[in-house]
Amino acid sequence: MGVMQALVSFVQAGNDMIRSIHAGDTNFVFIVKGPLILVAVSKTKESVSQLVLQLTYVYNQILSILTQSQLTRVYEQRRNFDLRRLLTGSERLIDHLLNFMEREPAFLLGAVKCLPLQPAMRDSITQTIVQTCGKIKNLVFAILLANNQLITLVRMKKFFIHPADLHLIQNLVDSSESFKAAESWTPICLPRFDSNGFMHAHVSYLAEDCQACLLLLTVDRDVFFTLSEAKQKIVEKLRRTNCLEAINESMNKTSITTAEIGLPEMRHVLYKCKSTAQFWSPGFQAPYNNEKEIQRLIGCYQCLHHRLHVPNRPLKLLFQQTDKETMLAWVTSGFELYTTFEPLVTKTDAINSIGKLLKWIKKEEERLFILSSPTF
Amino acid sequence: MASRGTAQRPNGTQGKICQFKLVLLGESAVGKSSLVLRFVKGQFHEYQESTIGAAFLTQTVCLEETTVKFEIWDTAGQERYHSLAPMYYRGAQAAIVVYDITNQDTFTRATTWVKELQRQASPSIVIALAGNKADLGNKRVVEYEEAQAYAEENGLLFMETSAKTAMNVNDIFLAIAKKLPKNEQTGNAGTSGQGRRLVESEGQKPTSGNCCK
Repeated sequence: MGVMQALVSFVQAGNDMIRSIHAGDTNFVFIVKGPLILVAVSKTKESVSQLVLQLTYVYNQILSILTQSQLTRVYEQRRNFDLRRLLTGSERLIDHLLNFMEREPAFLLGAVKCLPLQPAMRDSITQTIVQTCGKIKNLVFAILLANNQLITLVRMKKFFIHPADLHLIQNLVDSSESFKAAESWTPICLPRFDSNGFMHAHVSYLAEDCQACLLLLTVDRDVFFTLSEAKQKIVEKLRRTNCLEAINESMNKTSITTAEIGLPEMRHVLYKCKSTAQFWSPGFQAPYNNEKEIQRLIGCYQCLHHRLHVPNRPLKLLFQQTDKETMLAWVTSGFELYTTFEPLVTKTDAINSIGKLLKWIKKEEERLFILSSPTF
Repeated sequence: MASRGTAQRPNGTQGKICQFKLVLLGESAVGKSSLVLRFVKGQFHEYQESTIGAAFLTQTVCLEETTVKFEIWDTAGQERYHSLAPMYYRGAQAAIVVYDITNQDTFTRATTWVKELQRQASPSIVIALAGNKADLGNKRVVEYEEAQAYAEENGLLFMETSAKTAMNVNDIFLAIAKKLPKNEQTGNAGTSGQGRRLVESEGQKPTSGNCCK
């Protein structure tokens, strides 16, 4: 730790900033954020900018636990404060976040995935939340998640939630089994929304027989019971209107694969809709049917993403053929697409297959994405 | 208000229902959540993740004359949540301050929680001290007698508990239920801040094991 600090200080003394060190196959990447220095040591193929992204998420996770103002205050009082003292009990959030980023393309894409639902069903769920919570003052966001996917998000007019904040919320839910045992009242800072203030989140699963997690976020710390009652009402209504059943059905269904869509040469794909910051991906199929291969595939997507988005020479289209797979990435004003094919596919076949995929997505759009942006 | 009502008791007689707010306080990792989970759900997890913020649960206990419904706030023990604690003990009629019998610092921390409650919480609050992890007797550093003497001096209920073996878990909640005043005045005074209604108790089954002893 001393060495890291010395390295940063030495370069800072020359009015400069150390960004990375490359030694053999090991990369050291630094970011300095307020009083903290974050360092990533990596032997993977991730680019410097991707490691910076990971470090930034870790920093935001710390802010989410403490807020920026508290962090700054602590270090104003004691420059050598051991931050671990303030983070006890939340180590699992940081651990989980780092693992999460290795297998979730959401972080790479800066987008969230939605739980596929019939548009009428999703509307009905959204309306239930709007009608039940509409009159509750200071309720800023209502978020319903299942299997890490968004079912709906209702926001207060004028306020938006950044995907990066939503990822922290997903991380919190996914790393906390205890939310299943009781209603929770959890302070959380959303750094992109307001890095200096806490919001209070009423967190609970809808029901024993419907494991979707509802978060009601407010700036008012005294409304737990109001939100608790609202949640009960929401669940009763959703049950009466068969929405719980629809959620369960979609949660239990294995994701459709590209083979099932009728694209035999396409193995996998990531499709990001830019305007909504949402993405869709099919289920993994052979050869990506174990953790190791999935991670390798996500690694390939990372490389592809990096090459497309190099700041000094961004690309629109990239076709790359290796011994294990052929990949094609394409960025337009409306979407980003990263496709994986059999290694021997021809360029023409790949493009034809993408054409069919886009048609299918267009047809299913309303089920795969949340196209409206409901407010209270 | 209205922290009372009538409900059909399991044995068929009409009983009074009293609703009380109870808060658990104590250093992190002493077993607050484990005690509550044992009491409310009869469960124990060897690895219980640390609470973020606070968790809310309810459980009902039957006494001879009355049914006591606990509204339980299980708070996080970490230093950074300390400033939120008053939000949970404000208006509470009962508190369980928990320490770990294998860790002296947690006992010291418990005594400062007791002091804070005596100074800041409702004057009539019933405080119980729980020396948890009693199953780890071979690693004990806080003597039973030491804690008992402290509890007596300060007018606290005291028990050593084990969320793992369930030892004394129901008993400590039951002892609190018995000690809580069930006459009109105190019952009302305590919940008035919260304005909780009593509707959901009807038809809710009190768990076996702590019912009607």
